[in-house]
Amino acid sequence: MADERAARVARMAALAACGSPSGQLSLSVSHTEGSAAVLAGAAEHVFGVDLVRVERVTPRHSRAILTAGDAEAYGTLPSAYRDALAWALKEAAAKASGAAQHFFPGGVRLITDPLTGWLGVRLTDATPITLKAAWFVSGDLLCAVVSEAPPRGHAAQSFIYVRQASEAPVAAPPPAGAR
Amino acid sequence: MCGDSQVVGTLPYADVVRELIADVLGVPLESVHPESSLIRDLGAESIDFLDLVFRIEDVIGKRIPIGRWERFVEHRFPESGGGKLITSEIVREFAELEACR
Repeated sequence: MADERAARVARMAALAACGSPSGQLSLSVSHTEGSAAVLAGAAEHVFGVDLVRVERVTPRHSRAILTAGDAEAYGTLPSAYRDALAWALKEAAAKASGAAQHFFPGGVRLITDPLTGWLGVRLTDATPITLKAAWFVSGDLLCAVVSEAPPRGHAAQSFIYVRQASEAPVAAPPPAGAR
Repeated sequence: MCGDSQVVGTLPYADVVRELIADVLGVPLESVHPESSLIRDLGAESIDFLDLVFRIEDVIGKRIPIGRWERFVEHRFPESGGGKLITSEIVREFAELEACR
């Protein structure tokens, strides 16, 4: 399938970009409609990525995954792709947890600091984990990334986005949010 | 719709669920078998499962609470990555469970 080809290309590029790290690497992968995004980083680092077509996520999907605790942060998201971003952030965070079925959707909370505009997600568990959120839009696809700060002494994460398997992978630092 | 009856209208649940899966995933009905993995064999993505839940709500005439599907999958497949094991038969099982609540 086109998705798997794109994911394969992105995985290889992300691992190559990491070079020869001193510790173990972990990958978070997402693919849809022939495109893929991969985030590689230290295995002990919590991070996740999700890719979704903006039009695919409707207000009905949002209503099904959002709780009252998400409302404040949800309201700050850009209206053009608010539902898709909310979905992708929750998916990315659930994947980052390593126990997606357990956390998605109610175990992930969208959070914001109204003073600074900072956006993140929190995995609500016995020991909550807060992850910083970032995203970008490429054509009709939205990519969301959530991560905690890399452990001291480890290289920064490597992010690779492949629009289609036949196109060259795009190596970029973790994407900046629309702020 | 509960107990010994496993039909929706005049169709067995299994057939109704197969049709829902084929429609949501945009695949031929004949490619949906009881043991077909929705992710590995039919290309389902995470949002497709929510669409299936919506369609099941429409069929059974009840709202399914947030997270109920995820709890069901987590219980059926406690190991991480168990989502890849979700088959048409598993979806049927969930639909009947929800219909009988």
